Amino acid sequence: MPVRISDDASARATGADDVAAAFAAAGADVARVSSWGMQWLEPLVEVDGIGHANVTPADVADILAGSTRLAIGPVAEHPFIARQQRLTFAPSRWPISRPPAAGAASPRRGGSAPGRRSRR
Amino acid sequence: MTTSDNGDLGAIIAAHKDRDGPLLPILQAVQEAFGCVSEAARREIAHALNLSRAEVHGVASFYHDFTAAPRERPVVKICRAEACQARGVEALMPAAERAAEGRAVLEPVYCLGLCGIGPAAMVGTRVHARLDEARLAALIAEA
Repeated sequence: MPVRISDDASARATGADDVAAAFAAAGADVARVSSWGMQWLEPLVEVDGIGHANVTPADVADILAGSTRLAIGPVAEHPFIARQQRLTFAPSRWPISRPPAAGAASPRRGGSAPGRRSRR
Repeated sequence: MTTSDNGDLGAIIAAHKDRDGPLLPILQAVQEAFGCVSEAARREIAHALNLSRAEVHGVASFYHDFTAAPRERPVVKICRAEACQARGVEALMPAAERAAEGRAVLEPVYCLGLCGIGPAAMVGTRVHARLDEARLAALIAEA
């Protein structure tokens, strides 16, 4: 089960890169994902759907050992999220889908022929 | 500009000139490669894109990230917009100015999108949030 850490600007501005590096150094499978948009909780670290807020590298060992000191419960049930009506993407997938690994073929978008480059 | 710089400039222009809207990507690549978009480069870009120099100058001068000459000192952009003000950025400025004296340039920016976790600042492409006097001074010292 990957440790999910946002790599959006608010997470990175609050030290998520250092936190992610600390998890990776501790042997965890780290997935950099999009942010839930709750800036005040970043770096927000999600393990098995449970969020841990304002995590620093010093907290990594505790979290991996199962400490709930920084846990905020299931992120998807956080009042800020639960009261929202999500209009884009399937709620069961967003924002928990994992982007393709770097170097992997990107999924083909509708309408563009194979091998044809977008002019955008 | 030296001859080799002109060679690079030509390559940058060639790489983008057939795109839709080539001017901004060219300006961005030139700023990135040379640290500025010089007057000579603006002339060459205008010529290559069949634009007037005024048009190129208009775009290049509109965006503060394009500079006519290379920056002599590192730039620290500090958000001074409403949310960061509400979170106390103005109280950090005297210490920031002392830390920057003689080594870095402080520039105001108006919103880095980190409104909930300001005060925020940007050095290069890195953003930093939840700044206090000590962290901002350290950022400036390392810029």
